[in-house]
Amino acid sequence: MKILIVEDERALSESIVAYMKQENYVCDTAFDYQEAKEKLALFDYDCVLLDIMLPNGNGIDLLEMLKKENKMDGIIIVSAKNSLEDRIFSLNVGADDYLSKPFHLAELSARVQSIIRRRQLGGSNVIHYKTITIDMLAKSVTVKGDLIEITRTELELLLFLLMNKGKVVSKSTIAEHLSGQSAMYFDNFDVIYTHIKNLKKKLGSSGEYLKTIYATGYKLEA
Amino acid sequence: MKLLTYSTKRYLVFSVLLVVLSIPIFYIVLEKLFIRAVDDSLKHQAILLPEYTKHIKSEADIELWKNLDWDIEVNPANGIAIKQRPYTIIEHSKGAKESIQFRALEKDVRLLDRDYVITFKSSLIEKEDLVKAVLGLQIALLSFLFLGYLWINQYISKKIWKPFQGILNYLKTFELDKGIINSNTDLVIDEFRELNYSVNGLVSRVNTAYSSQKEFTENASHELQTPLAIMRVKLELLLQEEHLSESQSKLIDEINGVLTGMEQMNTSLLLLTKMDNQQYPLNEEFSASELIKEIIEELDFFIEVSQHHISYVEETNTSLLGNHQLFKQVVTNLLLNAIKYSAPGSEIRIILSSKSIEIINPGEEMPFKKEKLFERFSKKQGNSKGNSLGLAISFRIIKLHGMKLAYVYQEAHHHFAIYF
Repeated sequence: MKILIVEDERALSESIVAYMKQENYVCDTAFDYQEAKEKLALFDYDCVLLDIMLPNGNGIDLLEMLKKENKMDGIIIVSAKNSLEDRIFSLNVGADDYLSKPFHLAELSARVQSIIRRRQLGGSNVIHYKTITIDMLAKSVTVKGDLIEITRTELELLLFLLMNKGKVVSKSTIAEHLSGQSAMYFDNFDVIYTHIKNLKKKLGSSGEYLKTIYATGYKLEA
Repeated sequence: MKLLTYSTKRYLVFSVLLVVLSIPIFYIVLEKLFIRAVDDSLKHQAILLPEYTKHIKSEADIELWKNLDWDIEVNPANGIAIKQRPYTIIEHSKGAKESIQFRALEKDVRLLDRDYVITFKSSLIEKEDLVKAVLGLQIALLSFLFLGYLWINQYISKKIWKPFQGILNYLKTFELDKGIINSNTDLVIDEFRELNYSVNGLVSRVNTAYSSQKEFTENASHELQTPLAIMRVKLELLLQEEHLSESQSKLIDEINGVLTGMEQMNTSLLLLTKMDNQQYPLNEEFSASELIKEIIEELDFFIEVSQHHISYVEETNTSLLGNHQLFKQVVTNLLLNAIKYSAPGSEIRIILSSKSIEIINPGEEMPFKKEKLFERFSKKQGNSKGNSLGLAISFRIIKLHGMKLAYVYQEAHHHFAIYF
């Protein structure tokens, strides 16, 4: 899997690369408009991370250019402006997703994965992980062949951890992923703890794959 | 005290003083003038005396003269020295009760070889009448002057102070970002024109300062996003390090918590600034019922754990006009508060009617005043998390929509209501 990170802030770009590399992505970077334009013209990427505000240009122009050339790259727009208009505009122009700064790397990783999965031809809607099978269409989970009863939140939580398997995901990252906009008023992580506890219980012996890291975060074994 | 009352009072005191002082002065001056005129006439008579006396030939003539001319008294001199200057005598006539004042001038004359004293007399009764008339006239004049002053002042104050009242009303209802005073009306009075000009100058300076401050807040918030984003990802990377000790892990978690708080505060400030700058369109139409259902579903993630029972009563489905995103934030915030500040398992009621959305939850009374509830940074003691901007923002959003956010505590229940 090859991704291009178009981000002028080097510190941010480097961190994204460091995180994504651990998930076996091949990462390429571009720090300004011209560089991004050249790389996009020369190579094909599975996913492109595009910052709107770039030196010497606008990310949206690059997006429009890609769409004109019928490139199949999946695109995630990253913007410092968390405005609804920007979000709607980006999606209308043809972006696959929109992420506002500041974001969690785990969140970014999950978004990239779901875009790649959606775009892969013949991509199956069933995800296998060790003894666990998740049917994305039926929204059902089977453990060792047995269908388990799982709430919407728990499924969402399991998927999120799965997309970041082998990584420590902090409670605040999970909270923001699960609650979205309402995380703004979120200040109690006991809720996350309870959800994890319930999920573990439902997974039975397979719940052992889910590790608590010093009560600060959670990790699903790679 | 009104300016008109103030000046009228002063004028009244001044004019009373003027009248009181002027009456004796006027009286004295007038009396002096009158007496001088009478004296002059007596002296003139005295000069003409030889013309009379040359006709007197006998004692009988003297008697006749005495009887004919009432204004003259003829007495033998008897060696008494005469008074050279005119003087005033008061005579009590038997008929009239009042005494009459006379002015008299004595003159010595020799008639038929005998010395006589001739006294010329002139009644001063006319003087009293004259002084009375003049004083009456003066009082009347002063009264008319005063009434005229009052009338002109009333009239002028209503007309001339009109632009001043306009400026005053403008300042009373002044809001930032409001335009300057309408200066189409030509102002006659220089002072008011200057005042108008100064107020307009002040307003535009205030507006400039205000908008540059808003701009600064927005820019600062935007600029903060990038370093915050970098800090966040670096921390996340740090968390991935192998062989992290428990204490290191806890440190990262604590920094993460503070960072999240900072991000939220930044987001809130940005939201408030953007609201101030009217960057949110308020013309979206949406269904209140759908909005509430959407929020309940989204908060599932809390409710599943807290086991609150949400009962939603819909009296009528109401269509609202405003900003969907902002409005959703308010209802989400209110519902989250209801969940946060009520015991797990309790019932939270949401009632949608044609006039309001009401959210009711059981809970302890708040330890601070109700008025402080919607202020920025006021919070329940002991609850150190959360930046307490939530309700302040909700209040602002609802105000922006021209609606009302109200709170009451009744029978151990918190009632929050948005009135459309």
